[in-house]
Amino acid sequence: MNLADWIGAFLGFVLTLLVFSYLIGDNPLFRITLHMFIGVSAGFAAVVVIYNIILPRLFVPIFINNRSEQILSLFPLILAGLLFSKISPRFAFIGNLPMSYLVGVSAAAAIGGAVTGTLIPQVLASMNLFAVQSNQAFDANVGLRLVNGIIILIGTVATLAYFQFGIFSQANEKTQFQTWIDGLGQIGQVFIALTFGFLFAGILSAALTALIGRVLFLVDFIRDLLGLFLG
Amino acid sequence: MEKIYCPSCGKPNPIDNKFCDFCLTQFHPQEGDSADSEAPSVPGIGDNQNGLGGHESDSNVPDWLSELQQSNEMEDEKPLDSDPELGQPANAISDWMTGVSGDGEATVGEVSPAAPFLPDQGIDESQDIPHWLNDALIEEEAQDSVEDERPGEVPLGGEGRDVSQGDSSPPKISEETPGDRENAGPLAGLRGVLSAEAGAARVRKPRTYSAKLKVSTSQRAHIDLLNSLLEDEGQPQPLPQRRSISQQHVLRLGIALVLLLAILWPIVIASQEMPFPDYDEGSAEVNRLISQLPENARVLVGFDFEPGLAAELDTAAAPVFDHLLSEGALLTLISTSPSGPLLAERFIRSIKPDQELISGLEYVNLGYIPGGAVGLLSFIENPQGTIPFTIDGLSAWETEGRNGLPATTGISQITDYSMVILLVDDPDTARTWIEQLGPTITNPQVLTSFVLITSAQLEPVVRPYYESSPQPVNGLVVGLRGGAAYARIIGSDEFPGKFWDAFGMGTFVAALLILVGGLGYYVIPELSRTARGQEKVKR
Repeated sequence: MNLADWIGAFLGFVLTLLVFSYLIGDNPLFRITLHMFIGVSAGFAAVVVIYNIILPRLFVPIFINNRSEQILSLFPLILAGLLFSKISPRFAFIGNLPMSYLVGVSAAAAIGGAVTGTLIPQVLASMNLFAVQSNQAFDANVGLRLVNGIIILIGTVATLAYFQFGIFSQANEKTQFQTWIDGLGQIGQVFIALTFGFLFAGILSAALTALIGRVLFLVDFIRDLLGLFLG
Repeated sequence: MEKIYCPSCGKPNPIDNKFCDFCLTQFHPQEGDSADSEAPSVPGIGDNQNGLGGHESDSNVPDWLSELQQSNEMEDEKPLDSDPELGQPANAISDWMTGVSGDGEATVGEVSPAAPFLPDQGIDESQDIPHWLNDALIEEEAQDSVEDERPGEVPLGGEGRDVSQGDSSPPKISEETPGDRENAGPLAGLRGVLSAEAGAARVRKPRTYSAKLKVSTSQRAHIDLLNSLLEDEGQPQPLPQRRSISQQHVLRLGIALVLLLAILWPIVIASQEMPFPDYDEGSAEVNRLISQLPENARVLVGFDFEPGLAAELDTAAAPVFDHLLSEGALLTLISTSPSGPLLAERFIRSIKPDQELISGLEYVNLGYIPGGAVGLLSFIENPQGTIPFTIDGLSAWETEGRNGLPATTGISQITDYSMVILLVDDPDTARTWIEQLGPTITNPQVLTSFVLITSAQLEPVVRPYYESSPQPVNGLVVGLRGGAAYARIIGSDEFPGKFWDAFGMGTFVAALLILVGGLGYYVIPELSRTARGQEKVKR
């Protein structure tokens, strides 16, 4: 390791210990580390945006490209400039034009992606589990796929039933339909609990891995340090 | 001092006033003169006299009323000019009135206004008044005296009395005072004329309500409590003494210590006793896809994770990239997170510390795509237009007359890449990539495969995309377990065994702590409840 690596490793070692100091409760050392992390992240993001986006994508094309591209490059510059009017309440309405453009385009991309990338494919995939004849052509274990499909169907319907908040038709008397829905909702609760358990296990696993990574770093640094001084 | 309120302007005036001091409106004597109101009269008599009221047939008129009528008729025969209030002769009635006829036999023109029943005249006691009328008069006087105690209320005569008594009840008695006669206008001299003012418009003294608030005992208690709370708010309170070592601190430190020891033990002794997972379907599929890549295949790699989870993703991705680079793949790095380009550079340099990859030759870092889903969609549809330069400021793509970088040669659209690999730790980012890229990948004519290397916390979100058909995600390496499985498949020594040991031991201890904690949560209160019950029994 060269000197820069040693300085970086030492800073990482100290900052890791400062973060671990949260074990004894909230303290100034932990807060200092937190603020440093936020500041460094914001500063780095600003540098990336300036050097990776604003300069090469916004200003350079105006001075380098041909006339038509220069004119085209002016549009994002003007729209970006209009966004600054949001600073003043008096002229904030001027910024509504680029804002509406941003929101509209973002919503279109997000909704379009959700429908064509998640909603329709997932519904089709759930339906395909029950296509026994076509499954037989590709998969010998058709029975297992069918059971899988039934579990998914029950889980989906029961979970939706759990989030069905109807009102009683007459004074606090459940209709037969409402009784059915409540029963399905109970099953849906089981599926929701299983999902939360799965999510929790994943988060625990990820957090544990992050902790192991930091402990490994501390151990390696101490070993390297000891190796440096003890030879 | 009693006051009368002007019906016109509503302002108070002394009760003796005949005119309003403010607007000069003349007060109706019936409203102001209490003496007048004390004078009762018999209803129907006046009506008969002026010819405008109802006239009952003689057969229905009792004797006492007939006598009264006769006496009044005698008074009516007096000339009008003798009436000091009218001040004009009977023949001075306007012509328009001469044609008006009442229900009775006499017309208005024929009957001169009778002398008013003045209060000072009183009732002739000598007249033969039936005893019930006498009682009624006494009762009327008594009522008037009571009403006089409520100033501002205008006596209404016989109004409001119970008329449901039937024919057997004595006739109603109404007040008739000289004030009932009109003293101005075309109806001058007529009595019983309805007042121009509506009853509701008559000024009454507003009813007085008690200003005392009725407060119940419970309300009083709540008020006292609220007052005490407000008083306490204003008082400076000493800060509670923070206990230096609380039960929570001990518990937290104890759990951390146990977990750290469980992690440190395998790292220090480096036993590597935990076996790698046997088989993982997602990892095996990724291995198959990479093995089928052509030589010098172009691979797009997305680095969309935060530094906090770099340890997990770096470790899981290391054997995959080891395999990928051994196949001679050329990488294009990109990120939709500002910190992504730096993490990508760090990862690429850490894959082969002894033989670093050359930027621009073996890989190219395109940097950061701004705009989230929109930017990503733009890059998928037009990579060259969206990111024209590398992070080093070089022109990233080949154009006419200019060769591009080796890693991007021959790439004009996203489907020109043989594989797209995404390292991701956030569910929203993963879904955005899948939703924007999925429709392109699932096209049967497209040969590009899409592989995810994710954090373990993301598995519930991304696994449905991998297991669905058609498959927007063709391969899946999940967390440390997926990376270990991949390392076992390819027989790589890139995956650190001590990392896997520490992970296995840590997971086991964490599960044990959760189990013990859960049992304690239910058992300890139960035990304390039982102990309390036994103490009560002993007592």
